[in-house]
Amino acid sequence: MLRRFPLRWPGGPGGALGGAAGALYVIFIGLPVIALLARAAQQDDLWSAVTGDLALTALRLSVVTSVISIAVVIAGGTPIAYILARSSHWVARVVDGLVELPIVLPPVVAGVAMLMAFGRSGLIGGWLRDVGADISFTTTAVVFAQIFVAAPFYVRSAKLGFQSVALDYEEVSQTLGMSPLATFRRVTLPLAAPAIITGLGLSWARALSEFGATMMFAGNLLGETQTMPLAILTAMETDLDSALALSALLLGVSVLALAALTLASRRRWTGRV
Amino acid sequence: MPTRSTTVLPWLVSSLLTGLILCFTAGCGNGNGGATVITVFAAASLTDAFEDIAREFESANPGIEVRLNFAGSQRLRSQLEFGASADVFASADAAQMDLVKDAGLIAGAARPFAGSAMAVIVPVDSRIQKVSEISNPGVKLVLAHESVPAGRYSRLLLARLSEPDAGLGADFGDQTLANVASDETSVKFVEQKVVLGEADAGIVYRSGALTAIATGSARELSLPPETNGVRALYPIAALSNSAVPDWGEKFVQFVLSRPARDIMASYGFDAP
Repeated sequence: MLRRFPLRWPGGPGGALGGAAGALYVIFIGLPVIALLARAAQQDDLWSAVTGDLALTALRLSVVTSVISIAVVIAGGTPIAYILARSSHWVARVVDGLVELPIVLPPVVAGVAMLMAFGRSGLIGGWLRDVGADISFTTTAVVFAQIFVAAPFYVRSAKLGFQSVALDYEEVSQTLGMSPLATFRRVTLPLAAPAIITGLGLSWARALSEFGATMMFAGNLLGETQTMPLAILTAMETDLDSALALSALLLGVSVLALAALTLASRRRWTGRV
Repeated sequence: MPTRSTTVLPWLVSSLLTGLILCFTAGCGNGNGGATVITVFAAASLTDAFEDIAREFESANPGIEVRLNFAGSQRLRSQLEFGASADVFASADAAQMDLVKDAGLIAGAARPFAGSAMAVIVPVDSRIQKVSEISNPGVKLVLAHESVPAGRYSRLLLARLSEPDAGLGADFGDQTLANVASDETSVKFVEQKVVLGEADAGIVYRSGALTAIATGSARELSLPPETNGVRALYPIAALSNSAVPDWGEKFVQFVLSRPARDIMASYGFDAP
């Protein structure tokens, strides 16, 4: 657990205003969440809507695709994050900028870019189709979109985590006879773990909420490409109750995940060597 | 000086915030210089035609500004139900208009002002030549979602094509629906995905697809004459919670007038 200083709040008009602004902020964030839950709870058949076919199909698709996306992000993002943390070569700096680009890119632009690259008439899409990988309107396209928008959050956080591990530790470990890989696994990784887990949470949340790029690139079909956010949008236009139930369900899943990650990042990952 | 700066900063931030809030509530800087604004919610498929009509209306009525909000009719309807303020609603089908009417939001009656046939379109370089081929296995067909007017009309068209006189077989509709790769939330997205070559075929309004067909970005498949009855009907109505009800009604009258009908016709719409 982190040690915290006791809070000493400034007095005077500045302190009062700061306190009021802080309270407003909490209300601003809390009110919509409470309103959503309260309105959803008013429904008589909330439970049947939450456990209905539409909701469970979309939730299953969302969970499966976002977990696959995150697995790919970890596999590809961890080495890149480590290289970016340790290298000051100009290529690394260019890659660093490129890696973070999707954070500032509006998701719709990401969707158009994915279409231009992997769509049937895209840069490599025609070739992909020739080798039998027509990914437009498939679950694969959903995963592609999620990886594209979510990966930077993980890589960025993991990079900062690795940077916070002093080189000395790695050097000492290696002079004591540990291989570079063992050093990474038993020294660097545990020390960077809190940052990595935080990045994992942000990245997964971004993948789960991915919407704009998915709609542009993967389409909207129940059970194939209709993830929770798309199902909520579609339901919003026909049946508000169902949209509310889906929103409450997604909110619940997100809160559980957030709690699990907070617990995981507070755990001590070092000291097992 | 540190004590001074720590007390000044919150004051500065809060006065800036207050100014910003006052600015929004007083409507400063929206730049219409006191013009009367009419807000028109119109179906996405009306985009090009209504931009022209609004321009004509503005030049015929100096001091009036027409603000257009385009989206799928079902989305506009749901926005209106949630209290969005608008003066006129132009829907792509009677169903969405009826829902708005049932919510007590329209003033007077809804009047039909335009119609449009449906079209099955394919990318220009597609191998598909006849409409019968869109039911072949492996064809990626894109439709508007059934909650979207265009999606409803598309499904009516497929049902009509499955009747005996169309000669495509009774299973045609079901087999074609099994090919649906995506239920888009706006008919514009359907056209876009066919033009980009992402989809093998799509069903859209003929009026909306005219430009794409004329410029060679998409090709239309000919439909048997029996399907002529399947066509979109566009109703328009002034809304009851309008701040400028007279102007809302005037805009509706203008859309029903000869000059506006000519504009609609130039975009491929026909008389209701």
